[in-house]
Amino acid sequence: MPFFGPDLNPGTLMTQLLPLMLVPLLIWLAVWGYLWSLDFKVKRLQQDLARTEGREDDEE
Amino acid sequence: MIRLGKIALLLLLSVTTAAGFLWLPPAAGFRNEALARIVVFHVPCSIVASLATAVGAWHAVRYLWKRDLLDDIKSSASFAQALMFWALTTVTGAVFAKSQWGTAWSWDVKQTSILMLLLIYCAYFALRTAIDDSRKRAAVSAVFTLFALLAVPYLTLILPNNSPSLHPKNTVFSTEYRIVLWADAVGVCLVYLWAFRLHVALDEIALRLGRRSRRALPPATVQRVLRASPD
Repeated sequence: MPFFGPDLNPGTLMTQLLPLMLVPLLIWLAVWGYLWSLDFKVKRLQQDLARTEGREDDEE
Repeated sequence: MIRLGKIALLLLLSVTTAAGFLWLPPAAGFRNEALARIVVFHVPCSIVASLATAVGAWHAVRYLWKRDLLDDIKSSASFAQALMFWALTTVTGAVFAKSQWGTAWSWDVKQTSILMLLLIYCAYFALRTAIDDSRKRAAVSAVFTLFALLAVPYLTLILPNNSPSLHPKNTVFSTEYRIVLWADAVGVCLVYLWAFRLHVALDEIALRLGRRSRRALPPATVQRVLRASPD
């Protein structure tokens, strides 16, 4: 089977499917980037909280 | 290693999206064969929404059994994801409906039942925001979940499968469609797991901070103030 599907002419592909494909692709990229950056922030928050709690326990 | 897995997830999502548009042949038997490809995004969203509902229900039952607030956090986090994926299922379904039946919303039995399902989820979150006490909120939410759970199989399976509907039934997908659909389902499922884990971690931090702020003054601070005072 050809890569671009059996009955799609290049015109249809370039004018309709490629721009349409960019919408979900950009949404996935944005979701993935958001989760990736949130991951770092959550890890930093967890470390800060553990450090603060540890310091308080030591002081007690 | 985990970081590599996350990069692989981005690749999987990109490849399945591109394959859905560029590799799949038009779906035979549909009115708009080109746009019917959206089933490879619509079906995984509904699969993951059902999975998230099951996980949320399991943790709600576990909360009633163990009374651990972490289970309530996991339950509400999973239901938040489920609501998002059900909403995505509805939106992608409306795009499909517009291309196949000429209108995005036709009050079909499946569309109406998913709308009722979304309203049940909204009621769950409205209920949660109305109760301040965390233990009471967790218990009431878990009991609400048990009652709502009875409606989920009726609305998603029994009613749509036993009523006349525009929604295609017993569709047989070709091998290409099945490959892309299940690869996309795996990708969407991993996105759900990642978002669920982060949601739980953030709520857990908020819970720990809440516990700390509830202590009027930490004993160490009290001792420090007493030592510093002249009398």
